[in-house]
Amino acid sequence: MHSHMRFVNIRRSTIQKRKVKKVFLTKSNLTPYLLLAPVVLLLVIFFLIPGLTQLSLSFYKYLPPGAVIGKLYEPTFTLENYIRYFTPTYLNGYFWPTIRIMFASTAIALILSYPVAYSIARTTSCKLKKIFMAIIIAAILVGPVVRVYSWLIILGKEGPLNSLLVFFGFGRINFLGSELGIIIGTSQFLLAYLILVLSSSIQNINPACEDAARSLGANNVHTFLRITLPQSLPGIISAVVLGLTLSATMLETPMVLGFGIVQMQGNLIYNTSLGSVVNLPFSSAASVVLIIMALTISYGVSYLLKSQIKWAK
Amino acid sequence: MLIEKIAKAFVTFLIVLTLSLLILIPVIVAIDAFSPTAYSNFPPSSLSLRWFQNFFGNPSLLSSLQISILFAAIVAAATVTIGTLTSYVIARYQFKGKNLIDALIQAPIVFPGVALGNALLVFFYNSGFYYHPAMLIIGQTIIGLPYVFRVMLPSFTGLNQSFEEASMTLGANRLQTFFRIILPLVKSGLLAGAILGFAAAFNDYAVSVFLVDPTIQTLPVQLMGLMQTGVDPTIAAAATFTVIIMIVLLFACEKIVGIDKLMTVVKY
Repeated sequence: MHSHMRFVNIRRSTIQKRKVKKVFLTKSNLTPYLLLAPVVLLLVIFFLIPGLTQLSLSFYKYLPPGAVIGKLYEPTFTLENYIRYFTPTYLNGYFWPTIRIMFASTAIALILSYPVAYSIARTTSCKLKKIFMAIIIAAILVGPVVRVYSWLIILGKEGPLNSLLVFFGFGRINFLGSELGIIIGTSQFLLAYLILVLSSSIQNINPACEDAARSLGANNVHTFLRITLPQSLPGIISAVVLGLTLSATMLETPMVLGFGIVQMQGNLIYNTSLGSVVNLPFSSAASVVLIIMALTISYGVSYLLKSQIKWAK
Repeated sequence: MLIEKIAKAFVTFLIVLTLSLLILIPVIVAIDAFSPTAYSNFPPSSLSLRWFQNFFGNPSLLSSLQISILFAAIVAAATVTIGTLTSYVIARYQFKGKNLIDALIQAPIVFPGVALGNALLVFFYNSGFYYHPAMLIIGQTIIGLPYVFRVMLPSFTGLNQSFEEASMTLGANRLQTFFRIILPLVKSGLLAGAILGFAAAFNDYAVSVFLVDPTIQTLPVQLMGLMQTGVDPTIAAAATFTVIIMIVLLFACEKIVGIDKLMTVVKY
C-alpha cells in the first residue's frame, strides 16, 4: 500500500514536470530565442566555427609550396606544428620576449595608472572628473597607427627623448629595435584601460575608512598602505589580468617599434600567415598558443594573487 | 613630515607623467604633420601644410580613407542594430541559456585580435570566400559588437518596464511600442554604441590586415604598410586627420549624451 502510494506520487510529479515543460515552450517563451537567433548565428558561423577551424588546422600537415598544386596543407593529423613551435628558435625569438614584455609593461602601467585612477575616484570636482574622463576616452579612441607613429618619432635616435637624455648628460639609447622601446609603447597603450578598471574599483571603497584612519593618527602614507591599497586589491587584480591579456596580443607596436629585431607572438602569426612563406597550419598553432598563453597566464596570475591575499589575511 | 612630502611629490610627478603620456601621443603626431621638412627633426622650426596637401593629393590614401569611413559606418549601423536587439532581449526576458549567450557575445573581447584575424583568414580560405569586402565588414562587426553591447546594455537594463506596459495597454502593438517608446528612451545608448562601433572598425588593424584585399585597403592597413619603410610626415598628416575625426565624434557624444556613457567599455 505504502509503496503504491509512493509510485503514484512519483507518477504525479513526472506529469507535473511534463506540464511545466509544455508551458515553458509556449510561443511567448520562444520569443527571446527567435530574437537572438540572428546574433547567435552570426557569432557561431563567424566566430566559433573559425576558431574551431583554426584549432583543427593547427594539427594539419603543412605542404611546402608546389608540393601539391593549389594546396597549402593536407588534413592528416600531426603534432609537428606544435613540436616546431617549442624549439629554441621560436621560444627565444617570440615566446620569451612576449612574456617579458607582458609582465614589464603591465607592472609599469599599473604603477603609473594607480595615482590617476585614485584622483579620478576621489575628486569632488565634477569638471575635473570630466576632463580626466575625456583624456582617457580620447586615448582609447586614438587608433594604433597614431600611437605607433608617435612612438616612432619620440623614441627615434635623434628623437625628442634622446635629445632630452643628451641634454641631461646621458648617452643616447637605442629604443627602437629593443624590448625597452616596445615595453614603453605597450605600457602607454595599457594606461587608459587600467585607469578605468582601477578607478571604478577605488570608487567602491568607502572614504570614511580613510578618514577614520587619519583621525586615529595615521599619516597619508600609512593610510594608503594600510587602508586604501589592501581594499583596492580586487581592482588591482582585474587590472593585472586586463593588462597581461592586452599586452600579450600586441601586433602593431612590436611590428613598428621592434624593427624586426624584437618580435612578439603576434608578429609570428602575422609572418607565417601573411609573410613571404605562408604556413597556415603553423600560424594556426601559433594562434592557439597565443590564446592559451594569454588566458592561462592572466588567470593564473590572478589566482596566485587571490590566494596570496587570503593567506595574508 | 618629510616622508609624506616626498610621497606627495612623487605621486604628483606620477600623475603629471601619466596624463602627459596620454595627451602627448596625438600631439606629437600633429606637430610632425605640420613640420616643413621630410626628416622629422623634432620640434620643427616652422609650420607647413605640405604634408596635408600630400595626403589629400594621394589618390590611393584618399580612396582608403573613403573605404575606411564607409566600412566603419556600415559596421556601426550593423553593430548598433544587432546590439539593440540583443540588449533589449537580454534586459527584458528571463530565459534558459541567457548566461551562455551573454558569454558568447562578450567572448571576442578576450579573443586576441591577431588570433581572430588568422582564424577568419583560415576559415574564409577554407570556404573559398578569399578576399571579399564582406569578409572585412563581418570581421570588424565581430570585434566591435562586444564593446557596443557593453555600452548599450545599461540603457536597456535601466529602462522602466511600466512605460512599455502603459503603451501596450493603450493599444500599441509590440512593434509600435518598440519603435515609439523604447528606442527614443535608449537613444543615448544607441549613439554611444554607434560611436564606439565606428571607432572600433575605423581604427582596427590587427583583424583587418588579415582580411583586406590588396586592392581595397583600409587606411590603418595602408599607413602601417607605409610605416614599415620609414618615417614620412604624410603618414603623420593622415594620422592627424583620423585623430580629428575621433575628436569630433567625442565632442558630439559629449554634447548629446555625455562622455560617461562611454565609460562602461572596460569592465573586467
